[in-house]
Amino acid sequence: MGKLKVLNGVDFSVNKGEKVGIIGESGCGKTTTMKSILRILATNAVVEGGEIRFRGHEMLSLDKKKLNEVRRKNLTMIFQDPTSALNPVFKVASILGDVIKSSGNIDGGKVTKQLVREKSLDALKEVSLPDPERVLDSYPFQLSGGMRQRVCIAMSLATAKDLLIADEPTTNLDVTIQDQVLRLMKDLVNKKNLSIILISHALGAIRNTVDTVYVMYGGCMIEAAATGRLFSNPMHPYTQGLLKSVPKLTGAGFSEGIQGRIPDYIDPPTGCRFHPRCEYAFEICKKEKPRLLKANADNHRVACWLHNKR
Amino acid sequence: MMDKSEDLLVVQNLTKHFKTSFGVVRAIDDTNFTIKPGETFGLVGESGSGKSTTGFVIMGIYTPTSGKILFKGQDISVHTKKRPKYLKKDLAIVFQDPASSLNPTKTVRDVVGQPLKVHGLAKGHDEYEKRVSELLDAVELPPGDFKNRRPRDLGGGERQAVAIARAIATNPSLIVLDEPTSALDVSIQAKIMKVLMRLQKELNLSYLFITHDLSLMRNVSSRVAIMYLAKIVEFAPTAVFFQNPLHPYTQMLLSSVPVLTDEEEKLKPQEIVSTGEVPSAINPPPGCRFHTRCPFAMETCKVNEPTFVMVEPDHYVACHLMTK
Amino acid sequence: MRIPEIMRKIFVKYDVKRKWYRFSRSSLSKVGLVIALASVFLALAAPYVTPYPKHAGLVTNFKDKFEPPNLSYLFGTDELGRDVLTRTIFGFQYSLMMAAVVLALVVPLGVISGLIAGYYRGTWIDTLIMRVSDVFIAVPPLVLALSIAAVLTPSLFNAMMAVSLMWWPWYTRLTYNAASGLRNEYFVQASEVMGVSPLRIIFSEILPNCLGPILTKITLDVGWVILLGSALSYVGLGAQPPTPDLGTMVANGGNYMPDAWWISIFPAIAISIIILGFNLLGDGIRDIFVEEAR
Repeated sequence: MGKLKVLNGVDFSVNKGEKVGIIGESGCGKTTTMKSILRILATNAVVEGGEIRFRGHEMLSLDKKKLNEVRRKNLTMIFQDPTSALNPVFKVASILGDVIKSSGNIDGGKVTKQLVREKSLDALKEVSLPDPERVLDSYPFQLSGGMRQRVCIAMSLATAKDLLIADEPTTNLDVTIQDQVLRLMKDLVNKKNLSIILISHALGAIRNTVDTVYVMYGGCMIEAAATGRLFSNPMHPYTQGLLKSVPKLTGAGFSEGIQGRIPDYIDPPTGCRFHPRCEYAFEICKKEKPRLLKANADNHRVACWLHNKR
Repeated sequence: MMDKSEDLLVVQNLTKHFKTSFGVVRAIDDTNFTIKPGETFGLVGESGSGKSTTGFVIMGIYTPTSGKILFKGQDISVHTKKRPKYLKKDLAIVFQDPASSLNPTKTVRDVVGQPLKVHGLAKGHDEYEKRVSELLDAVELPPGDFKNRRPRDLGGGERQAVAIARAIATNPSLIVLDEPTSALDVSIQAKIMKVLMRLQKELNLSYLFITHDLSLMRNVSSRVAIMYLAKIVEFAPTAVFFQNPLHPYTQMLLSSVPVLTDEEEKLKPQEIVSTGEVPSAINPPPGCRFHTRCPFAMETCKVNEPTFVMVEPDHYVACHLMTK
Repeated sequence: MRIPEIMRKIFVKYDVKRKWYRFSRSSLSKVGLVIALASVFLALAAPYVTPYPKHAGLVTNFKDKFEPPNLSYLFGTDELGRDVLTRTIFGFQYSLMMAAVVLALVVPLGVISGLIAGYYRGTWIDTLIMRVSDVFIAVPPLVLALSIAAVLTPSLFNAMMAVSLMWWPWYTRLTYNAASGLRNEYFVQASEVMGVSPLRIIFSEILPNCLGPILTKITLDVGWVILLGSALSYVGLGAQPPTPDLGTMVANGGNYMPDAWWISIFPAIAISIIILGFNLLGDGIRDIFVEEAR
C-alpha cells in the first residue's frame, strides 16, 4: 500500500575474469539489483536513477533488439529454483538445444540437429552429470533437484561468454551436492575466464568460491573487500553481526543475532538504513547516508560513519 | 547402566514405507534410538534420509509400518487420531516452513491460543489473554504489537517464533523441531536458536532436533545421529561425534560443510570429498546403502548390511570398516 | 463506548480494512457493488418505490394498453395495460429471490459435502460424495432443469427446485479442490496433532481458506441462476403469469416485437444489468482473495 523504495544507491563493479560474491539476507535487494541488470524486473518496477554499464553499453537505455542480443550472447543468469527455471513440458534436449541455437555461439557452417546435440552433450558432461544421454532425453521432473540445477548451470555455461549471474544457485540443494556444484562452477568459470556474480545468503558457499565480496543491506552495498579480508576482518557492524551469527563447528554456541528488523521499504530509515539496529549509531548516521569508501590501503571499502573520514 | 524407565522416548525397530505409484518408498527402515528427559537429540541427514519422516511418525502424523514408539513407557505407535487427548498436550512439533505452519486467516492470538482452548487450559477471557501474552513474551515477541497481526505481516523468524509459542503452550515434555531454522536468514536463525535454548532450560524440555546443518547441530545437541537413506549410520555424543567421525558418509558430510574460519577448516576431515548422487529411496542399493558413493567400499559392502558396532562408549557406527 | 469497540473487533477479526483496499483498487468492482446493492434495494423496496405496485399482480388496464414510454408510464405498458417499469422492478424481486433461495439451498449443501470429501480425501467418504456429485454434473444443466420442470407442474418454486438440484455439485467440486489442497498443509497437521477435532478443523481451519473461490462463485452465480431461471420462464416452465418474472416478460413481449418493443427490451436490459453488476462484484471479490499468497 505504497511505494517500495528498494534500491538505495547501489555501487559495484566486476572486472573481466573476476569472481564477485554478493552476500545479503532476504529483503536486502540483491535479486532486484540483478534483475535490473538484465532488465527483467516486474512491470510495476521503476528505475529512478543511476546507470549500469556492461562492456561499454549503458544497459538501462538499450533498445529492445540490442538488449536481447546482449542477453543472448554475453550475459547469463542462473536462478534460484531450478524447478521453475526449466519448462516442465519440454525434454532437456529441447530446452538446452534452444539455448544453444539462439546463443549464436556455433561457429562454422550450418546449425544441424547433430551439432546441437553434440554441443548439448558436451555441456552436460562438463557439469559432471552421470549418464548425459539419458538426462538429455528426460523431462525435468524425472531428474533430482541437484541434477536440474546442474542442467541450468550447463545451459548457462554452454553459452556464457562474459558474465554469469548466479542467484542462490545452490540454496535448494543438499550440502554434499552443493559442495560439488560450487566446486564445479568455480572450475568452469576459471577455465573459460568468465566473470561471475554469485549471490547467496550462505556465507560459507561464497567464501570458497569468489575473490571479492560485497555485503548488501537495505538496498545498498555496505562493505566490499577481498574474500579473505572480509571474513577475517569485517568492518561494518552489520557484517560483524552477521558473521557472528553463523554457528561454528567449534561449538561456541549462538550469538544474539542482530536486533531489530529489516527496513520497511515504504518508509525506510533516513541516513544509513542500518542505524536503527546499530549499537554504534551516532547522530550523523540518522542524517546522512555513508558512502562506500576505502577504509584503509588494502582496497577494503565500508559504508559506515565509523570509518568514513569526514 | 541407565534405568530404561527413565527414557522419555524410545524408538524400536521403527519402519515406515509409503506405497506410491512409482513403487514403495522406504522412508525409515529399522531405526532405533532413545531420547532422555531434558536432552536435545539431534537427527542429521540430507534429502531422502528419512529424518523428517521420523519426526512425523513420532508425532503421529503417519502410522508406523512396523516397530514401536514408547513415550514415557507408553506405546504410542498409532496415528494421532487414535491417540488419547492428554497425550497430545505432551508432544508438540515445530515445522520447517514458517509460511505454511500458520493459518493465514488467523491472528497471532488465535494461533497461539488454540492449544489453550483445545485443552481447556485457560478459563475465561482474561486468563486466556494473559496466558497468550506470557507465551509471546517467552518467545520475545511483544504481545501488544503482535497479538492482532496475521502471519502475512510477519517475517520468517517471527512466524517461527509464533510456531514455537504455540508448541510450548501446553507445557509439553518433548518437542520435535523439524528443520526449524532452515528457511530463515542466518542472523534470525541465531535469535531463534537462542530462544529455543533458553526455553529448554526454563521449561525443562526435551528436543528432537532435525536438521541437515552440521554447524548448527554442533551447538545444539547433546547426542547426534546421522541418517542416510532410511537408516541411522552413526550416533554418538556431540563432542565425540565431531572429534572422531568414523562412518565414511559422516566424513563426507562434514567435509562438505561450508565454514567461515580457517580454525573450522582444520576440524573438517580432509581425506574425503563428496561424490555421487543420493540413490532413490524406492530402490536402495543392496547391502550397505552407502556403498555406491563410498571410496572405501569393499566386496562385502555390496551384499551385506552392516550392523552397529560400539566403537567407544556410547559411539555406534554401522560400517563394515569397523569390523575389519 | 461499546459500539465502536465491537466494530473495531470485527475489523480486526475479518481484516476489513485490507480487504476493502484490495477490492476498491478496481473502479469496475465498485460499479459492480453499486449495481448489486441497487438491485437488492429495488428488490426489497419494490412495493414502495414503484409507481403502480398493483400492476405487478392480477390487474388489467385495457384503456392504457400498448402505451409507448411516456411521462406517466416511463417504460410504457404491456398488452394488458400494466406498467412495464413497475413490473420490471418487481421482476428484480423475483429474480433475486430465486437466486437467494437457490443459493441458500445449494451453497451449504455443496460446500459442506466438498469440505468433508476434501478432508477425508482418499477414503470411501471422498469417493461416495464425489461420484454422487459427478452423476449430477454429467447431465447437461438445461436438460435436467427442463426435464424436472416439465414433469412437475410449471411454477417458480418448481423451477427453483430444478435449478438447485443441478447446481449443488459445482460447489462440491470447487470446495473439494480447495479443501484437499489445504488438507496436508502444515497448519492443518499442527491442529490435528494438537487434538483439534475433525469438525473444528474443517470449519475453522480449512473453510476460511477456501472462501475466496466460494464467495466469488456465489456472486457470479447470482447472474447465472437468474439467467437460467429466465430461460425456464421463457419456455414457460418457470414463473407463470401474472408473476412479473423478467424472463416471462421477455418471452411474452416477444409476441409484440418490434412494434411494442418496450415490453421485451426493458426487462431484457434489466436482466443484463443485474448479471453485469454481480459479475463485476464477483471480480472484485476475487481480487480480495487472490493476494492471500504468502
